[in-house]
Amino acid sequence: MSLAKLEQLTVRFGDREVLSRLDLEIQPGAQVGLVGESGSGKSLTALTLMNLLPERAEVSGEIGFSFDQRTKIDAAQLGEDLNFPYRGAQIGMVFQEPMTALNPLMRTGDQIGEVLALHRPENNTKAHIEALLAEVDLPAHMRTRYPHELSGGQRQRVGLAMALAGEPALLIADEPTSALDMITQRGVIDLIKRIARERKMALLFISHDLGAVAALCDQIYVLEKGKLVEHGPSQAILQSPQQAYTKRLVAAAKPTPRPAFTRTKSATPLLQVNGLTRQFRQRRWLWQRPSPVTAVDAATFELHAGETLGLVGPSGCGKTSLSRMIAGLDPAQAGEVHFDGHRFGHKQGSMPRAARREISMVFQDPFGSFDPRMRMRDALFEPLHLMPELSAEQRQERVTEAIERVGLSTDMLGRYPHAFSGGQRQRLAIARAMVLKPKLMILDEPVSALDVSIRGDVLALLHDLQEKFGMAYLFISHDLDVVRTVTDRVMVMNHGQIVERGKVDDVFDRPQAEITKKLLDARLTILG
Amino acid sequence: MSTRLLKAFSSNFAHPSFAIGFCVSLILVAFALLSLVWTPHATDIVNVANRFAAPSGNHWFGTDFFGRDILSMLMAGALTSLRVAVLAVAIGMVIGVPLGLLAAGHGGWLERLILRFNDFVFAFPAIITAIIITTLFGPSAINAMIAIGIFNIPVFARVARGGALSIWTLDYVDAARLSGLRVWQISVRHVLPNILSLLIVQATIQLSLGILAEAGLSYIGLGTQPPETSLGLMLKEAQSFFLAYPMQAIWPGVTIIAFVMGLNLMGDGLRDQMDPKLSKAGGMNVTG
Repeated sequence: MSLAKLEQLTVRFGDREVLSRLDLEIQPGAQVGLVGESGSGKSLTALTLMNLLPERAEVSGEIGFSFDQRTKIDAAQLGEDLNFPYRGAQIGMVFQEPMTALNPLMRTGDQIGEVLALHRPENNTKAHIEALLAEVDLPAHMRTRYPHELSGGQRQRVGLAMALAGEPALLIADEPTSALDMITQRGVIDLIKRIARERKMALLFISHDLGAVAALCDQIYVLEKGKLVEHGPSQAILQSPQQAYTKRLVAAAKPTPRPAFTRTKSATPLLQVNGLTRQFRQRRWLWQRPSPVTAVDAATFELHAGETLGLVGPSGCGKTSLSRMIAGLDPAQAGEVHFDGHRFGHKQGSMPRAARREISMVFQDPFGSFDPRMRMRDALFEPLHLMPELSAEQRQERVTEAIERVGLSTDMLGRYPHAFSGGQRQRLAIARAMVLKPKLMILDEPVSALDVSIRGDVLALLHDLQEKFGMAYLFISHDLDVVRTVTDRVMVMNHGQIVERGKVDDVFDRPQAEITKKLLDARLTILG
Repeated sequence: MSTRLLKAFSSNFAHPSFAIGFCVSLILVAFALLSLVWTPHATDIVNVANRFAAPSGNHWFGTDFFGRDILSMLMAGALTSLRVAVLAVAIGMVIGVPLGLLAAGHGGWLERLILRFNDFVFAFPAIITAIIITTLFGPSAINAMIAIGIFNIPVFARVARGGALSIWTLDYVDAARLSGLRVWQISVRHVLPNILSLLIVQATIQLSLGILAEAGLSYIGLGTQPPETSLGLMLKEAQSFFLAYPMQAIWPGVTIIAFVMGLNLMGDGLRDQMDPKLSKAGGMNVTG
């Protein structure tokens, strides 16, 4: 007998059907994964089970629960008026965003206590709250902390403790680790796995990350655009996916062998970074001298023309700060950069204008990197400010070439950014970076914000462009599999320092630094 | 562009306070502009024999102490008030917005300088500035306008700086910096279009404050001078006869209230529409 069951569940907003005829079954104590890309209806499924759908949703189908007794609910009756005692009690939920899921003005212990007061008033004691914190591997004194005093991973653990407080038979976790860095993510996933086993609790784990789902679940449901594509035991789905869409997801999640590089390395480095340092000054009290916080500590490395250098590290390690100094966006407090015959840095001052046209950058978030009020055409022409010697025709040629290289056509350029998908925008961002034909391109997590199935396309595009134009890439990422696929050499950063460097295979196969080992251990591969 | 504006505009009409505010303001502005070409009676012809006439077919709202038609006076007065407020907003925007953009874009000592200058100007209410200007140059509608305009400068500088600061942290500004654009180019191309909605909302609110301030300054004799007319001046002139002829003061008073409320409602409505945090129906992102 199943614990929770959705039958022919359909959800629509106006005439847009976002979930169609979904059947889903969760057995007591089973771990079920729900996989799909953004917009596939994963979260709506969770919200339906929690009776938290927005009011404008039109729902049909049937929901069945068998907690204490069997109940059947006509999905059309869902809403605030429905008597729905399960939320927070038999069904607990962990949300994606640990920043906003907690009340910033309440101590964590009080927030857990609130759930207890509502659902298990007999357990609302200090001892029980501390026991719940211990269960999620947090020390008892965390009880008196406010959310802003906790790290992302600790907040997510508090969220988990709150979900567990009602002693649920079913825990729904909606992308609980997507906002966390790799190492923390691994910790939270292992924790959820352990607790689900110990409590014999059923789990509905929602994620776009097949690796995370594979690590946790024995059954997988694959959703595409609101439709159930495939479901079955994890091993079967991962090893022999039947549907084209599932095959693509599985293929994208497996590390692909690195394409052979045909380039020859130049003798003199294109980029030489010597002791580059970035500090922020922070003052705790008005009368104190501001004490410097070092984001990047004397980074030194070389990059040759046509080479791809990977830069990895946990979040906050200084990867982005380092790249922004090289791009000339932020000033350095010490050290210097030699780039293509130009020198800039602490003593030499900001980047000379002549060097600007040789460095470009692709940002992580394809939605934030274009001005929403500017047509694509104008955005793509913008870098050509740096080449006043080009005629209008030559400019047009440059832009047309860049657009065609990234596989889009020029007739879309009259549109505003909102009319493009995430993948298209990232292609356009690459096109914008290409317009100048720079010698160095800094890629700051260029595929992390993209859905798994289009990541491969974008990486292949970057590879082709490098083959054709011989640009050097500084490739920043926290995703080690991607880094291994695309880079020649890799540097590992931690606390602002470059702690390890070398050929990518050497570093990943024989890691020396502690942080490299941790990063490698935290990887979630669907093979393991 | 025009279709986009029209779309934004029509969606605003679903918002009741915007719709009411917009209609009231539009009627009053039309009424004021009409006085440029036509009023029922001339406003500068005195006919003492016909003073304090009761409302009639000829004089809908009656006549005042000098026998002038009150409806005509209201129309001309509303125009003066509107002219002063609009130009004061223009002064505030033309000087304040670039200051705010400069402060946000440049940072460092220049930003501190602009902020301290702002604080300095902000410390003087419009009325003090008006008194200073009047002492130096004598009272007139133009001087009232300059005084209110000076008062508007720090308001717009603050709004522009606040909005611009949040835009400057975004990736597309970094992309523009990588494209070699200078601070002022980025401010004009990227920052200004993205804070325009904030500025429009603030302009509507400053417009209503300007009308109120003009009325206040004229009432105490620092603004518009006879034989020109303004709503504040009409109130001042009606004050002496208020007990005998209360309608003399009520008409300009009601016009001021309608104007200020109309503009405020419109500004609030616009703000609600433009700030997604305040709009209740804001599309929930649940299709994950």
